Amino acid sequence: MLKFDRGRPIVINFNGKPVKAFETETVAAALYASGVIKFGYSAERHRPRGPFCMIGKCSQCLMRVNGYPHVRTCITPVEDGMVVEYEEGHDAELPLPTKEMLVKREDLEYDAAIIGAGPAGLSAALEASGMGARVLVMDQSPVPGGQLVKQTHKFFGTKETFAGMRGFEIAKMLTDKLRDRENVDVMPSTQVIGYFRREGSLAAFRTDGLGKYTLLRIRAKSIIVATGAMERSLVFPGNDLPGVMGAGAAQTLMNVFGIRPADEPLIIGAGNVGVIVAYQAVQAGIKVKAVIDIAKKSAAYLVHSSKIRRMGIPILMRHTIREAYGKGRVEGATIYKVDDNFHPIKGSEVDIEVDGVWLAVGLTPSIEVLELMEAGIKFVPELGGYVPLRHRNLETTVPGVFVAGDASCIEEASTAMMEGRVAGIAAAMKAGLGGDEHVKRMKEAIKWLDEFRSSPHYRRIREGLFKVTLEGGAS
Amino acid sequence: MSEGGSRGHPAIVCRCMDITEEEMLMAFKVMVRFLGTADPDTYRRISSATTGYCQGRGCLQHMQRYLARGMRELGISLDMDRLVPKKRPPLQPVPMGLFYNPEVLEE
Repeated sequence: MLKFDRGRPIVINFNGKPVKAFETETVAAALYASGVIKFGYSAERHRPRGPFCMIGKCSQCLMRVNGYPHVRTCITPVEDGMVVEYEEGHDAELPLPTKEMLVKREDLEYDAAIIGAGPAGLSAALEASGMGARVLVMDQSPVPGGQLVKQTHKFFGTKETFAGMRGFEIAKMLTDKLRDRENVDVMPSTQVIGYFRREGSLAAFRTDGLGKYTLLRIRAKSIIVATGAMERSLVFPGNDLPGVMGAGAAQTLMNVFGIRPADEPLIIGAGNVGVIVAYQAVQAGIKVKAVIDIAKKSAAYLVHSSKIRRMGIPILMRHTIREAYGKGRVEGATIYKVDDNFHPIKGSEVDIEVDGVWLAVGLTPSIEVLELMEAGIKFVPELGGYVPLRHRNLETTVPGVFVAGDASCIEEASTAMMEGRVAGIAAAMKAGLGGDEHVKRMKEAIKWLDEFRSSPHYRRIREGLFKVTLEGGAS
Repeated sequence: MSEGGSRGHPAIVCRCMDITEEEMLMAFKVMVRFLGTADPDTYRRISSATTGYCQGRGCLQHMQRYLARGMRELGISLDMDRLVPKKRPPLQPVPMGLFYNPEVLEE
């Protein structure tokens, strides 16, 4: 069992009432820990809403914090005495900050600018900086590590990708290594907001504290987009009720903050994410009502699904959700069975009482920056949807812009780390650094990826990659 | 502030702009019937899905699904690779004061 070091207890003010929190928490986590699952009202219909992604992407956790409007509470650390309030839609009030704002500007130049400090971004930074490149790694979260920080299980795989270590330990190790290097700047709480082609610059802003921002203009010889992915939503009546969230969001609350996001949830999706989250939920003392999936056969590794079956959690295949119901929050869900053609089977509808619906229905690559750069994009369902075309060295169709990790193809942390190495080496070479030994090192990493993906389990990934991999580049 | 009843909630596609599935399907019909076109940029303007705080991070995939299905049903030629609306900065919600430049105003 894992122990949580939550830091010093503090008190924040939520809608006029004191709420206990711990200094290592984000505002959203602290509220969830105290039983708050409604984070405000939606923009037009004034429906109660709660957070969906918990990693700074979905914008459903926006609140007024210390007088500043539209603050993403899931990536904002708590501070003693902080005042947090509901915002009530677009038309409730003029969103003026009631306090003074401090804005600085910085012009920065690097050999390689990396967007995203997850397994891909951190690995890329290690490689590129090892070749002498001046490297910037930005991440919108206050803590680097990406989704590694919520991976509490020991990794499979090979020694190159740290098999046997837990995800959050890998995140810490990579970050510690980078911290010791003088030619690397790791910049958390930093969001990239634009790319301006004529000057070849990225625009970003860093939150140095509430109301304190730095607008950054970044010029870099190469850019690595390691922006990860976003959990998919599912469209069904009641899908916006507080308590309906991504399974990864629930995992963040459980594994990063030691919070139970629900007592009796239903999990939709019996792939690896669904069953691993179910397993971790049981370990956290949560009674998972069922894991359902519309497919015939679970896509999860058998070890994982057998484990949760043994724990007595039903995995219902060929089942899906009709609606979520409840007053102001999820109180139940109606599920039903489908036939071979995915048509509902009459009379199979069942209501189950649940206080959470967690969606594990896949991930979508986060490629907004690449779209802005007008990189070549292709629709490849095998890789998770729209993904960039890339050469073998992971350079996209925009010269000097590379992609790595889930943004290139929805896969896993180990492949993300290896792709990060490839992109990191290639990016430093683009900046004029490195020599023959680095070409060799990159080829080895590419070979590792090819071998890893040669297993029959990854046939779809191989087929998908075939569609988006361009001739040329290092092979 | 309507907390709504216990059942019969809408199916929300775009959480930021509060657009339901029904509205997305209606917007598709309006686009085809009155503008005689079906493309991602027009669809987002008419439906307003993908134009909120998160800029389509959750709903773009659904919008693309409705668009592809609708075009297929109408027999409009469909290239999935082109169902991506144009992106513009800022990619994230930004405090407006970020672009305020006191030095320029003082001149």
